[in-house]
Amino acid sequence: MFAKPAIPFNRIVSAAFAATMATSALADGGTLTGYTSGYRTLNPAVQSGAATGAPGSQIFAGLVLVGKDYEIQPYLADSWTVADDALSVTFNLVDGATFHDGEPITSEDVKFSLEAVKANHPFGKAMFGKITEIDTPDPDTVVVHFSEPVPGFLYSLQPLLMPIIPEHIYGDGQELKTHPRNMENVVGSGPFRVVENNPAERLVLEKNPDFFIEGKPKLDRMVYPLVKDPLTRMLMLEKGDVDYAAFAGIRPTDWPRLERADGVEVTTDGYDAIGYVHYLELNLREKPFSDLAVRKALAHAIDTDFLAKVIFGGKTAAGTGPLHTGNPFYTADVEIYEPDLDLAAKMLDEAGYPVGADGKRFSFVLDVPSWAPQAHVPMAEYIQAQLAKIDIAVELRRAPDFGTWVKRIAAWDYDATMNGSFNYPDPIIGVHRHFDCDNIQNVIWSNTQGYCNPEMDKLLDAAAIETDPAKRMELYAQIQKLETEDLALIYMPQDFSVTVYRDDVKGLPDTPFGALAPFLDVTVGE
Amino acid sequence: MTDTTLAAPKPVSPSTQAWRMFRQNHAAVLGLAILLAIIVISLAGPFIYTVAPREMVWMPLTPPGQSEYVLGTDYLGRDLLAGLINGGRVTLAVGFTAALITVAIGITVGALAGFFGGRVDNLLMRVTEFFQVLPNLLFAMVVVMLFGADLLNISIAIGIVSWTSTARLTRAEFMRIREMDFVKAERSIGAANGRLIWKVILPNAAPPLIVVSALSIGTAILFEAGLSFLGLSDPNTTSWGRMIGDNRPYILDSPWGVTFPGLCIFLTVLAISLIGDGMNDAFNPKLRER
Repeated sequence: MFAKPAIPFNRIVSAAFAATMATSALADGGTLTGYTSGYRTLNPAVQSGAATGAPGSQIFAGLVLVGKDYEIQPYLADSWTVADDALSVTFNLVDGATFHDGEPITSEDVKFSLEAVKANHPFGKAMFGKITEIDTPDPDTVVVHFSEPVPGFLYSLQPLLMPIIPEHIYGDGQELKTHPRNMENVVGSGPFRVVENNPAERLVLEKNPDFFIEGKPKLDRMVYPLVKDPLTRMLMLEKGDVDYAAFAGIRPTDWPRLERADGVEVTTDGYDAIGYVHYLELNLREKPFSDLAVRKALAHAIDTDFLAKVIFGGKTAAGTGPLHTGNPFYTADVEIYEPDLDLAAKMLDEAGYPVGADGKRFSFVLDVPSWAPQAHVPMAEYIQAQLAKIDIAVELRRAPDFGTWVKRIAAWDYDATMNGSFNYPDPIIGVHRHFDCDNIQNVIWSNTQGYCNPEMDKLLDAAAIETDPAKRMELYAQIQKLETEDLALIYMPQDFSVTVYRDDVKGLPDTPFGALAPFLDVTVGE
Repeated sequence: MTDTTLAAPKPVSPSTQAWRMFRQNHAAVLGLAILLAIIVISLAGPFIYTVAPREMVWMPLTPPGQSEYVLGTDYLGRDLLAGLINGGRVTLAVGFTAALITVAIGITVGALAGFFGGRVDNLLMRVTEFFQVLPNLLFAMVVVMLFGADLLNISIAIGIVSWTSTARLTRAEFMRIREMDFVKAERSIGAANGRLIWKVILPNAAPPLIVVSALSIGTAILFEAGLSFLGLSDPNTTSWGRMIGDNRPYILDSPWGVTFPGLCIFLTVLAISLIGDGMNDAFNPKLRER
């Protein structure tokens, strides 16, 4: 029996080799140092945004993950079946998954989490509003029923948007948004658990040894000190005090400097699905902005290509419509407003806004929020200087803090504001909210500008339940075209989001959601 | 009896004497020249150098001397020279307005406390101490945050946090002078309190107060720069402090964005300090007799 051994020799060797590799990787996962700009809660079920989402996606697991080509991958759900009528989905959970306190993760927890997110998350209604019933026939099976098909449903089940939170902790009847366990003794379900949580100083996460995927995560620890000042961040990255920084807050002018630094890598990957879009929001309830011709004139007066060059060093796209260029539904076939000041002035004359005796056509106050100053302050100052050339007086009003600005905009008590929002992978989540007549609410990042077009509503409603991808694509093309004709918002350059990391950090998620995905394969050091 | 003619010196008014003293102080004259130059450039400059200070005219962060914009551009490609010329107006305006408010509150409170003494003094001094123990910058930031960052509010904020030392100095001068014979004489012929305070005592207390007032312009300019640096500036105007704050994140590779406005502030405050020093010497009779 020389010719055919029972077990091929090379397979034994490779198996043994793989085993050693696995243990050494486990032993040498290392510590990843990042930074945080401060967070109010660690529970992504009640708060959107990167400050909570980045650590939240490590602490909590979701039912699925989104892969490189937007394919849905198993995570806590090892399989799922979509019913033929698309009105229900059945999930089968992985065996033996537990929360960080050792309690098993059951279908009841999934049901609890879905309901918690629906009730508390800013997009809860947009994502899960059509869920009519959630069945839990046994601890490993969850069946979700809808009133109408929800094409983007599976995308919203990743940890960032739908973390699985423990019912035995949060189900005690306290208000979830202000639940003390959102910050103290956080019990998660994900690859990392919280060992030190001091938001004024630092957040330390440690590998969850009982994580339900064998051999993962590979890292031992993640440390996020609080660093707010962009210049300090730059120096820390350059010096190697920080291994990894997503949403690095790095300006394009810093890029060459970081590239020159030894062992530092810079990438814009990992943000496509998040799709950060900036825009000028005009309050459409009153003149002059209720007048479409005025909005079109403004769009002609603002040169977004120029702004993209000046503010973002030409490293971002100018932004042509409500969808980010990285979004799978994006189309470039929209109404484009070529920069032309003379035309803008002419349009204003014709629309009934001639230059008055005081040398002005009209004046308005432009609010500048505090949360993206690198982008919004220059944009506002450019708009002010630019509109002055066509005799429109713009007074800038900088909000001292986030709350002040939110209050003004949510109360519709403003003329115009710089603004921006995330697309998220499915437009139902991040885009519909701005244009739906039913979503004219006193809630920030809803349809605060007060735009309502029945034709748009019809298209949005159709796109929200269309399950055929090609038809859906066509519907979103029409939506983008119509929006750029109606100009409910005037689009600015897209945000410049970068991740900066040391070259010994390996295995970073390369998916469109990478910056806010769990770090299952990341290692630091040789 | 022989006639003796007394060679009486021609009488010279105190202000003329002071000016003579001041002129001999070269540093002070230099300071005055610098300040006048800065004021003239700030007022007339924008009519001569007409580049708009808030317009993005060139590539961002162009170094000095590499384009038609000689001092280079800032992080948004705005002309630094235009920013300095126009920013000077705002900086000086805030400096002077804030100093005026400082002096007005300080002298009023100090004069009343020093003149009346007793309970009035006690009350006013406790109020003064209250303002004195508040952290200046923090208090000013709160005022600006609450009432909005426009130029008047910023000037008021600076004024109300910095009047206490003027008040204490005024009070001390008033307490010293009110016991002097000429004041008693005025009082005995029936002068009212108002006349005693404003017409009799104040002019005699003026020299140190003028010096303090002049110096408070410099302090106010520095204060405005500090507030702007922290982002508390009127978003509709350019000031030197704001230019420093805006360009600070780029200091590693493009230091000119903060260097030039910093130099302007330095020169202005230095000039004011030199003038203040010169005035202090000029008003001091002991030095005059040397």
